[in-house]
This record gives sequence, structure tokens and C-alpha cells, in this order.
Amino acid sequence: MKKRYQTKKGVCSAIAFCLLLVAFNSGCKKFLDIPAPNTQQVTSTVFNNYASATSAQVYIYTQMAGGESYNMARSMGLYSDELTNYATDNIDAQLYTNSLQALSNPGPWNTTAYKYIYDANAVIDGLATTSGCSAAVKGQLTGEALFIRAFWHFYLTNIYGDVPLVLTTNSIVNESSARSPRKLVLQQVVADLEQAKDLLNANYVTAADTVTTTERVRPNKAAALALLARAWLYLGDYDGANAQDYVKADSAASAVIANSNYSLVPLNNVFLENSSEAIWQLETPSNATSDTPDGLNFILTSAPASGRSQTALSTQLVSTFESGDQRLVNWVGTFTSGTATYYYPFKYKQIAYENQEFTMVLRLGEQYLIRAEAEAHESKIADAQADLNSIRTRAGLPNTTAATPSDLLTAVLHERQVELFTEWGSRWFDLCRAVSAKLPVNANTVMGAPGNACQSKGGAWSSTGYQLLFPVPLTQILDNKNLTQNPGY
Amino acid sequence: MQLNALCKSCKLLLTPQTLRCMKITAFLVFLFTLHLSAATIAQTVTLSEHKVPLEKVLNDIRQQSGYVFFYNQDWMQQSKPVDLEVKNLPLEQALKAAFKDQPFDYAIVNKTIVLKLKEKPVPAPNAQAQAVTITGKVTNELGEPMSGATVKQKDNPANGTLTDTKGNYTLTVPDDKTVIEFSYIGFEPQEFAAKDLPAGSVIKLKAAENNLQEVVINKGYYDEKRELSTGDVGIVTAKTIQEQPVFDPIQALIGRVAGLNIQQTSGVPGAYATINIRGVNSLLNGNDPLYVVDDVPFSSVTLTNASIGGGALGNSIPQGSNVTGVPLPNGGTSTGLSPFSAINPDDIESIEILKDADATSIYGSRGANGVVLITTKKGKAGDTRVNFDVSQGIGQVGHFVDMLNTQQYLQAWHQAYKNDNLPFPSIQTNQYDGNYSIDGVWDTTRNTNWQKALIGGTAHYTNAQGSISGGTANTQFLIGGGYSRQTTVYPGDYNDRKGSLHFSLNHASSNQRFHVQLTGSYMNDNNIVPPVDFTGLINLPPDAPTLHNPDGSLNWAFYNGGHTFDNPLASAVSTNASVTNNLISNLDLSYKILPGLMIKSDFGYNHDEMNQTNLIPSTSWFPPFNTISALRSNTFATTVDQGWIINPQLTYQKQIAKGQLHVLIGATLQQSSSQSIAEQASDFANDALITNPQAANSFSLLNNVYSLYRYEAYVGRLNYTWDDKYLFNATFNRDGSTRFGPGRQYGNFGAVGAGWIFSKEKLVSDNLPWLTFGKLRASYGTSGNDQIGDYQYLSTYSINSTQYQGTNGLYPTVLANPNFSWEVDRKLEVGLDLSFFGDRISPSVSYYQNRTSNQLVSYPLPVQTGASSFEYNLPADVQNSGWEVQLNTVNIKTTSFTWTSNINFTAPQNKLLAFQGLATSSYSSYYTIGQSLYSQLLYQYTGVNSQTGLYTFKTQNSNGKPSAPQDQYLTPPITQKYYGGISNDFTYKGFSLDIFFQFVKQLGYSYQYYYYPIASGGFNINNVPTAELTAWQAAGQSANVQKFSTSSSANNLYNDFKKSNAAITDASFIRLKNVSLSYRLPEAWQHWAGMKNARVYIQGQNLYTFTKYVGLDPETQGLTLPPLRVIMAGVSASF
Repeated sequence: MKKRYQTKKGVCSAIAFCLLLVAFNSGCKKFLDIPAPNTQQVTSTVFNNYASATSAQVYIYTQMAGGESYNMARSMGLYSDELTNYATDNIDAQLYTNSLQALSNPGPWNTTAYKYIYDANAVIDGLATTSGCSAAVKGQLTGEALFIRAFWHFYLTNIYGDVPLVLTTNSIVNESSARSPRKLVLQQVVADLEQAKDLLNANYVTAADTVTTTERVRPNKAAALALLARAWLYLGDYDGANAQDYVKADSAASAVIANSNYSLVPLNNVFLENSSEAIWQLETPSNATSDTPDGLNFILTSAPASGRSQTALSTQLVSTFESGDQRLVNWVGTFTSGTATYYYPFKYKQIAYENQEFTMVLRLGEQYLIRAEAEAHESKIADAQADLNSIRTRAGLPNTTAATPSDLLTAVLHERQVELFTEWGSRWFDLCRAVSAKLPVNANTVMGAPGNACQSKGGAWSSTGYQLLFPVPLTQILDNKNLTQNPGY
Repeated sequence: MQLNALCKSCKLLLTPQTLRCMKITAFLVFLFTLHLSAATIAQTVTLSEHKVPLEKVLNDIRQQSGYVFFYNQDWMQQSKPVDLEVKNLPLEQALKAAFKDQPFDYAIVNKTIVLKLKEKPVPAPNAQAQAVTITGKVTNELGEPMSGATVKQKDNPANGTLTDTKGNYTLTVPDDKTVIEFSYIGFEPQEFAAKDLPAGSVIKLKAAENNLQEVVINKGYYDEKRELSTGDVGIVTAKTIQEQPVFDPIQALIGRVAGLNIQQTSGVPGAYATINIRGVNSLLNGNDPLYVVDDVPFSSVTLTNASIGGGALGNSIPQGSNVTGVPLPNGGTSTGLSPFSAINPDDIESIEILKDADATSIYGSRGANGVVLITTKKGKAGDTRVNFDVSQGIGQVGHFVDMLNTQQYLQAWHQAYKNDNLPFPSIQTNQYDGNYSIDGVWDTTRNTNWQKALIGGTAHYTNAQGSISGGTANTQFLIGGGYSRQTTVYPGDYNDRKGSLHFSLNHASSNQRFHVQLTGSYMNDNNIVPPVDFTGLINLPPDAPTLHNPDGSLNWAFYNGGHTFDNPLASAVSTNASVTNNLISNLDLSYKILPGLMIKSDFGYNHDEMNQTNLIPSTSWFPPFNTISALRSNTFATTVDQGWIINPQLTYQKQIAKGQLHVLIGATLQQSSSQSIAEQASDFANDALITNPQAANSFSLLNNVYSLYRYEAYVGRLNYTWDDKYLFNATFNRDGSTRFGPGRQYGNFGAVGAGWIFSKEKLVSDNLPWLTFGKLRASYGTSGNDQIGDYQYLSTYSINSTQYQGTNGLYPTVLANPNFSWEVDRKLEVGLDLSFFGDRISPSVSYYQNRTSNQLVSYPLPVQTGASSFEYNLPADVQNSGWEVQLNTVNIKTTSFTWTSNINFTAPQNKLLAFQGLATSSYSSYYTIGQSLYSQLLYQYTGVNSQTGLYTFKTQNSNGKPSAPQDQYLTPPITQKYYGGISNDFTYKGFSLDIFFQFVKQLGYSYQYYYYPIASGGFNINNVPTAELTAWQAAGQSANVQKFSTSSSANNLYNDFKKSNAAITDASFIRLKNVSLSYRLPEAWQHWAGMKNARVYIQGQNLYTFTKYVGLDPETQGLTLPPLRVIMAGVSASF
């Protein structure tokens, strides 16, 4: 009797406890529904209003302003004939001696380029489905994102040759995509820019996306045209000197040159904030302690080995300026240590944060040279000479003596060397496409001939010319079976 | 009616209102359950009873009057049926009538009626049954009095007492045949009949150290006697921890428990150790066990903010890959300050390592990698005791590497140029000229031993601990405090100071039904380490300049306008300080509702906070940068981890036939959150201002991270033991975790275990008398792993602190994947526990096999996807299996001398069983199906070419240059083959000597992996160990080190060498891990000084390492500070 009674009590207690657990459960049904962290914003809400959508796009510029211009200028400068290396770092040594290894790849493939492309694709995807932004905002931001996607595909293909084309945020698709031929990549670059050109505002906009400003720090229609002009030119060279491509390069560059917003300015004003020569600049981000990474790092205040970039301008470059070239006076600085004199890029004059200069990405000077080159291909001799002379005149030089298309092409290549040195690796890419365009002065002749650049840097230029392309980073090949290595590595 | 029954059984009332409140939370409900409320209804009663049990009458009275009865249920057997007819009778009179013939007295206290058994009439006195009063003394084996020992009548435990401070007791028992039991925790109980205890007799209790099967092991949700356990649990007790001069409890576990693999990453105070239980289950993520301190989960993730880093402790970056970028299976761990350094080892009573499914399944999704339960010390009944323990000691690097001296070093450089057929560069040339010579600038007559200069110092240790404890049989307390200070072997004033407080309070109601326990541990840890581990600089050239100029300033060895020396002491002027405050507290309540039925819950809270500061004055730069204000910075971060946990549960225990049934049902609610903010202030006008961020001209927020984790679970356990011979245990867990996306949060886990104590079978015990104990056990079950970051399923954007056009950037946080779910681990174990000759020889063997599927990994992606990884359930199965052997022996045991040994041995094996689509996945270059995860695909080294002096490899194409993947071959597992520990404990009178060896058989990375060859690439000026002197020098010579060379081709071959099997070497070692010698002062001295348990001791850690490994240490391998050799001496005593 007693036993049964107690058991009953025990059972009842257990039942009551179970009821408690059920209560516990229903009371805490929402226990596992946790909110998004207050430090983050759920993706679907980001593109619901112009402000956060803009934030997603300008993040790319903040990151690019952190040193892409300088990194590209330094890496490609060391790799080509622009800079002399004083760093003891192993990767710098490999770059400098053109002996890159797949394992320690210093290019942008495995660092930032594809992140920018992803961020841009995310903006394109996010805006495609939202109804929270006006058509004008959508157009501007989508245009900018397309522009960025084109911009980085353009640099990737110039450095690595064939590269994967990434046009979606879908990682399942992207993780296994193989390398597309360089021509196809350049064609996609052109297609993206053509679309961007139509979407972008003709003026520069503020963070409100539709309000016009004098700050040239967001890509606009002219920026798309300027990059388009360059892309057509490159495509022409890599497309077996396709005449149509040069015509399109000519026409895109003409559209920019004809735009009254832009004009050539005195040498020392070119790199100032919002200079009339600027087509697109990167603003100095709020956390920066210097105006531009280029100014901070390239300017020598001590011998280059203890400088920030541990580089100086090469003697090859310095000796190539014609006498009287004002660019040697205004854009090249000198530092003397003991008996040694070092030259450094002095386009940007500020080391600290002075709110004077922005990082230049695209400028009018290049457009004149692009058009001159295209015109030379089109055999428009006088026009080509005129455009080339616009640049030479500003530099205090007499008019060009080149009068045939091939002489003009060589003259433009030289002019690009002294006009665009240490700007986004321009020199190296010019030398490479000169190989395709079969110009007498090209990467193989400049780097490879005995006693020439590569050997004087302590390296050896292969007769196969495999060093024209960087190796595909080994880590990427390991992570994506469909990637192949460039020959020679 | 049922509810009434419940209420009565509880002797309290649950009002309907209370019931309605049930829905709120279990916490409140639980409190209500304990809430006593008695409603007053009437003061008179009306009863009409006829031959009913007394209990029913009492119930009726209670219902009418609102008075509650307190009595012992068992007494009701003695009650007599009641006949009663009263109407509106005052309560007092009704009671009088009801109790007329009952064997009870009663008393009314407020609204409670307390029943008491009437004194039994004393039987007529006779010689055989006369109450006797015994007096005597209880001591330990050494004759020292034991206070607080329990002396009680065996058949009536209520009649008992505790010994006083001198060990004396007095107890009256009914007759001289009564059996009296003497007991004390940790000692073997003894029984004597009263007649065998003449007045003043002394009972000596023997320490129960060898009674392995009696040990009660904590399995978190429940406790269990080891004898009756079907699971596998390793235990490390306070004794073992305190014998070791360590400041992080994890370090005290190294080599002590089979299956527990701990690798120290560095000898810097507060450094992290990599820990895993029974191997690595997860390919890349989360192989940390679950840590629980006093029922409160403790995060093993460092609080070190990644934006600041831990300086010499390393940064808190995931160590998912080794130096070559190859993912290693030890991913998910991190360096930085070890969170365990905020737990005082001296506060710990025991650490339990839960290994198999039987023990871990109840932890559900948190238990896959095992569970480490840390239990802190509790007060013990007895007189108030004051304990103290003070020690001091020193630490040094135990072993240095033989490095080249200047002469050998320069010779190697000359040899390099000779090998390259290049003229040795003129020493006159400019340092920045390609023709520069290494001995052109620096004084070639200098010879600095950088190991002596940078890590050759002596670290000093101070440790002081004190506690007060005591209490009565019902209430015990302990309050402890500690202070410790460690310095480092580096030049400079670095140290780690800790102050801690620990308390514990236990109380039981006088009827032993209600128990409450409150524990708390608090520590303040102030850790200051250099910004870098200077061990990384011991390969500086031996001819490098002096650290200081004659005027005391830092020497930069300027030459031609540039500095030629990165003075290591310059970085030493910057500091990396972190202050940790850690609080762990737990409240444990339990109530025995009925005999065998218990309701309980614990409420835990922890708060772990770290404040970090990293000050970089401009003087840490070489001139002229040492005056640039922008280079002065103060980076500071605050990281707060906090969490709470509630574990309500109901347990029921009942004897059914010859079996004992245990049932547990319970729940867990857990929340933990982490908030971390790092900020940087820079650009100060001068170095003196950098401590105050307000003085900075530039300010930025480096990161701001918040995460929240919640976990809920319903757990159950059913255990049935038949005749103490056949054991069955089943556990169940259904839980949910917020680390998974909607629809994938819940999982079910469970395990069954069974055991057979065959030594209790008559057939066995009759025929094998020497077999004291024998148990065969097996278990199988599942547990899960959710050790991934929070919110990985959620696609979000994070805010960037930098502004552009006045607006902040937003960036995609992670590549989100909403579809991943649990990683499931299936554990199988079979074990045999034996004991021979009365526990003199006790071996135990276990075989385990854990299979983890649905691998939850941070899946590496090619960056073309925009991210380098995302969370993903890999269709892969990893198996960890192995043998674990434990052997305890009592070799010699006499009254004055004992020698015991303890050996543990683990031979783990790891195998990738299946991996769907491995060939096309990004893992194909790292893993091979059917092989260990620790095996790597590396180039096959084929020696140094005797003609060219260059490294050669097995290659498919003829150019001699290996390339991935076609020239890669599988290596043996680069990990432990087996490991374990051997301890020998000797006691002789007052002396006690414990010697512990740790042994590890393993493969590791050779010194060549970490030391760049001399002159390599023409750039590397770093020094190398003398082992490199065997380098190839002339044609025809066979050598195992490539020639010295400045050429880039030789440098490239060295890089290939690092990626080849030649960089893998035997890194096995036997370490004299610990020696502890203590001497207990003679009784007479102690008595004179009024002390008890007074000891002096000397302890040594990492005393000597036997190894063939070339390098500082085979455990930490590379250029990191090895675990130090520590020697400490101290005294401890109590009053």
C-alpha cells in the first residue's frame, strides 16, 4: 500500500517535472531565434536604400585607396625597367630578377582583385532585385560596379594572361570556373564598360548618388569611356592588330578629350585633388595618415634601403628622358646620401596628410597618348603627331619628328614611358602588348637583350618569353582543379 | 488529487497560481517549487474517520486547517489506524485525539506541526544490552590527528559525530555489539564493534589512494562510482596538479591522461597549448574539447584581439595552415593568451577528461571532441583551518642550439661565393651595391651568442596561496586567495602577475534534503610580454653590431646614410600588455523530494574580460623615423565574453529487485556572448603622451565584433545496475544551437553503454582469488560538433570604420551558406579494467574508434569566389582509433615506504575513410583517402647531387624541378605515433618523491625547415645551426646539406626542399617533465609550532629532454621559445 502510494507520488513528480520542461520549451521557443549582430547588416536590407547600397559600393574605393596604385606601381616597376630594388625581401628579389615562383606570387590575383570583383558583383546582384532604390541610383551604382568589375578583370588579364571571368556572386559556379582566354576577358571588359558608360552619370556624384559634385572620386561616364579607350587599344594589340578596335579606341578617347570638363594642366598641378586633368581619382580615406600611398612610400627621405618602398627610379628610366624634359625636373625627385644620388617618383609631393592630393587612376594625358597611338594605327599621321605633341609641349619638349605609323608607335611608346612612369604599372603592360603588336621596342627586347634590363637586375630573361606573364598563384591551382599554370612555371 | 499527493509528498503546497506560473521559465518555476506557502483556512476541524491510516487523518487536518505536517515517511509504518469522530473541534484537541494511541509526540511551530517519535521505553537493563559511551581518537597512518572524521553507528547513521581538532570523539551507542563506522573523504572507512574499542583507542585511517574503483567520478550531469561506470573518464587530481610548478592548469595535464594530447606552442607565460582528446575529428574546424568549470562552460578561445595580437604570445589568427600554406588538421585553434591562464591551478580539486560516447553524448552537439570538467575545491567539515603555500623559483631555457660562430659564419659566406664561382665582393663597396659584402660593414671580430643575449635570461617565479576552510556537518566553507608572478627569460621587464580569489559555500538542511552550494572563482591576470618572441631573432648574424652605442643609445650601425642593423631591442620599447579579469560562479540547488527522488538545478555565470594595450613609441623605429609623430601609436582593445547556464534536472534512484535504477531527466539553457572592440590612437606629439589616447591626433576603430551563441538541450539518462555486476547506461540529448540556420538547429544524440563486472561472478571469484576486480565494458553513441563561428549561415554586410565621401563602407562579412548542419561523431569503445592482488596491479586497456562524418569545415575556396573559404558540410568521414593503456601498480608498500607507479600509453591512428569528390575538391592536394589526415603530399627528396652540390628530387620531367601535383608523394603521418607518461611516486616516512616522464614518438619539421640557409638568394644574412656545416663543398662529395650559394636557383631548390619529405624528421623525445620532492616536518616540530601538515618541497618542470632533434625543442620545434626548465621550492602548512 505504502509502496504503491510512494511510487505514485514519484511518478506524479516526474510528470510534473516533464510538464515543467514542456513549459520551459514553450516559454523559450524563441530562445534560438537570435537577432543579427548589431555590428552587421543583413544583406537583403543593405540594398533597400540608397545610403547603404552606396556604402557597399564605396567600400571598394576605400580599399583601393589603401595602396592598390602604389602596390601595382611598385611591383610592376620592379618587374620591368622602372625601379631599382633595395629590399632584401625574397619576394621582392624574385620580382626584381623576373624569377617569380608560383608559391610566392605577389600579384593581385590571390590578394585583392577578385574580392573587388565579388563586391562589385554583389552590388549588381543586390540592386537587380531591390525596389528600395530609385532608377537613377540603381543606374549610377550598377554602372560603377560594372566599371570596377571591368577595371580589375583588365589588370588581371594584363598580369596573368588568361584568367577566370567572374560575373556572378554564386560561389558554386565561381569556385570551379577555368581561365578564359585573354581576348575573351578583354571583350568582357569592353562589354561591361559599354554598359557602364550608358548607366553612369555624365557628372561626378556625391554619396547621395544623384547630387553633382566637383570631387572626381567616383567613376562617371567619362571614366568608363577613358578605360574603354584603353581597353580597345589593348584588345587591338592582342587581337592581331584589329583595325576596328583602334577606331573604337580613337572614338572613345576623343569623346573624353572633347569633354570640356577635362584639360591638360601644368605638370605640378596634375596630381592635385580634383585637378582638371583627373578623370577618376581615389579620395584619401578618413583613416589615412598620408594623402596618397604613392607619395608616402616612394618619396625618399633617406637612402632607399631604409626608405619605405626600398626602391628608387632605375638609371634606365632616368636616362631615357630627353634633355629639357620638364617631367624630369618636376616629376622626378633626388636624394643624395654621401656620394650616391638616388632618384624617386615625385609626381605626388606629399608624404603626410596634407589634404592636397588624391590617388590618380585615370587622367586626360593618357587619353591623348591613347588617341595618338590609335591614330598611328589608322595612319592618321597629322592627328597622331598633334596629340603626341600636346603632351610633349606640356613637358617643354619640341614637336615629335616621327612621321610614319611605325615611328609614331615607337614614339608614343617612349612618350608613355616618361609620361606615365610608376602609374599603375603602365610601362610593363605597354612593353608586353608591344610584343603582340610586334613593335621593335617590346618586353623581350627591353628585358631580354644581352646587357639589358633583366640581366642588369641580376636575372635571366628566358628566350621563350614566359616571364611576360606572372605565374598563376599555386594556392589557387590547389584550390581549383580547373586552373592551369602558365607555361614555364 | 495527484497534485495533492505531490504536494503532500513535498510537505509543501503548490497553489494553482504557482502552477499557472509554470510557463514563464524553469528558473522561476524552480524557485516556486521551493517556495513554502501555507494558506490559513480554519482553526477548527471536523473529522469522521473509521480505521483509516494516520496519514489520511493528517491530510484531512491539513486541508481543513492549513497546518503542515513535518514527519519522516518511514514512521508511518509504525502508526496505528485511527477511529475518530469530531465536529468543529479546536485543532489542538483534535490533534490530541488523533495522536492518542500513536507512537508520536507532536509540537506546533507556527503553522507547522512537527512529529517526533516517542522515546522508546528503555528496555530492562541487563548486561547484554547496555548503552555504552566510547571515547577515542582518529589519526592518519602517520599518527597525525584527523579532525572532522565521521564516527557513526552503522545501523543508525543519524547517531554520529565528528572528531574535534585533536582527532578525539565521544559517541554513545545502544550496546557494545553496535558496529561503529569511521570514515573520512579520501580514506578507507573502517568498522569496529563497540566492545573492540576500549576507551582511548586510536583508529588509524588509511588513505584510499589505491582504491581505484571507489573513486566517484564526475560526469557533469551526474556522478558515478568508477566501479559501476560504463564510460571512459580520465582523472587528474589536485595532488598531481600541485606537484607541478605551472601557472596554467592545462600544462599540468600534459602526459598524464591516456588519449589526451597536449602540445605546448611556446614557453612564453600565458602561451596557448593545442589540446585534443583522441585525435582530430574535424578536418579543419573546431577540435577543442568542451571545457566546463564547476558546471559553467568555459570558452577555450583566446580573448586576444586579432587587431592587436598577443605580441610574443602570437596573434589570434587561426592556425589552419602551416608555413607553406598547407592546411593542417589542427585548424581552429589559435594562439594569443591562453584563456586557461586565468584559472588558478591551486583552486582545482580535480580535472575529469570525458572521452567516450557513454560519457560525452549527454553533452550533445558540444561533446564530439570530448569534455574536460574542472572542479574547484570545496570546504570540508571540521575545525576551521588556515592553509598557506608559498614558493619561489627560477626558469631558464633548458637547451640551446649550436649556432655558427662568426668565423664559421663568414667562412660559409666565402664558401657560397666560391661555390658560385663569383669573386668575394670587395669590402669597400657600398652596402646597397649588388657587389656588397656581408663582412664589409660589420666588425668581423665580433661574436655574439644571440641566444644568450635574447633568451638566455632567468625567469623568476613567486607563488603564494592561502585558504581558510572548515564547517560543520551541514555547512562548509572555503575561501582561498592567491598571488603569483612570473618574469621571462627575455631582456627587459616583462612579467605575468595574477591575483585570484576562490570561495565555496555548501549547506545542507538538517534533514539532509535540501542542499545549496555556491562557488566562485575570480582572477585578475596582468600579462606583459614583448611585442615579438625574441627567439625568432636568435639566428641574427653572429657578427651583428652591439645592441647599444657607447653612449647607451640603440645602435643602428649606420653606414652611408642607411642603417644596417634592425636592433631587436628597439621593438622591445613597445609593450604588449593585457589585463584579464575572469569570474566563474555557480549556484547549485537540490532538494530531495522523496527518498531517491531529487530535483536540482545549477545556475552558472561567467564573465571573462580582457583589456589590451599595445604602445609603440617612435623610438622603436630607426632614425630618422624615430621622430615621426605618425609612427607613435596606442592600440587598445576590450574583449568581453560572458555567459550563463541553467541546468534543471530531476533524478530518481530506486532499488528494483537486485538492481539499482537511476533515471535523470533535465534540460540546459545556455547563452554566451562575445564583444570585442579595438581602437587605435596614433600621431602623438611625443613618446611620453602615448599612454593617453586623448593626446592622439588620429584615431580609428580597428574592429568591433559581437556574437551571440545560444544552446538549449533536453537530456536524459537511464542507468540500471543488476547486483553490482551487470551495468547498463543509456543517455540521450536533443539540442539546438544558434550556429545553424533555420530548420537545421536541432539534433538528437544518444549513447548506450554496458559493463560486466565478471570478478563478482562466483565462478570467477572462487577460482581466481587473485583477481580483485575485472570489468568488461563497451559503449557506442553519437555526439556532435558545432565549433564554427557564429552567424556563418547568415548573409550580412559589416561596417567599415573608414569613410569615403563622408560615408562608411559596407562589406560582405562572410560568404554565407544557410545549409550546413551538425558534424556527427560516432564513438565506439571497448574496455577491460582489471585489478590483481588487492589492487596491487591494476591495468586497464581501451580500444576506441571515433568516426566523424558530415565534416563541418571552413571550406577553402579559390579567391575568385570573392572569399577564401565558407562553412560547408563536407561529405567526408574521418576515423580516429587507437589503444589506450593505463597501468597502476603498488610496487612496494610497507608502513614506512611505498612505491607506486602509474603508466599511461596512447597509440592513436587517424584515417580519412571516405571523401566524396576528393579528386575534384580543393582538398585533393592535401588528403588521400585511406590515409591519415596528418600525412602530407610532398616532393620526394633524393639527396644532394654529389657533382653540383644541389638538392635533387624525384621528378617526372627531366629538368629536375619538382612541381605539384605530379611530383608529390604521400608522407607518413606527421604527428604522434604514440605518447604517454610514466610516474613513479615514492614515500618514505615524511619524504615523498614523485618523478614523471613524458614520452612522445613523433615526426616533425626539421631545423632546416625553420632556418633559412646561409647566403641563400644572396639576401639571407641569418645564421644557422652548426649542423649546416656538413654542407656540400666539392665535387664528388656526398652530403646531406646543399652547398652554400647566393644563386636564386639554389634558393628555389631550398624552397622545394622545404616542401619535400626531407624537411620531415624524427622529433621524438622523452622529457623528465616533473620531479617533486617534499618533506613533511616531524610531528613534534609541527606540534611545537602549532602547525599541521607542514611540508617543505622542491619541484622541477621540464628538467631534461632526451631527443635527437636538432633545434631548441622537439615539442615547439621552430624558432619559438621552448617550454622553460622551472625549479621552485616552497613551504606549505596549515594551522
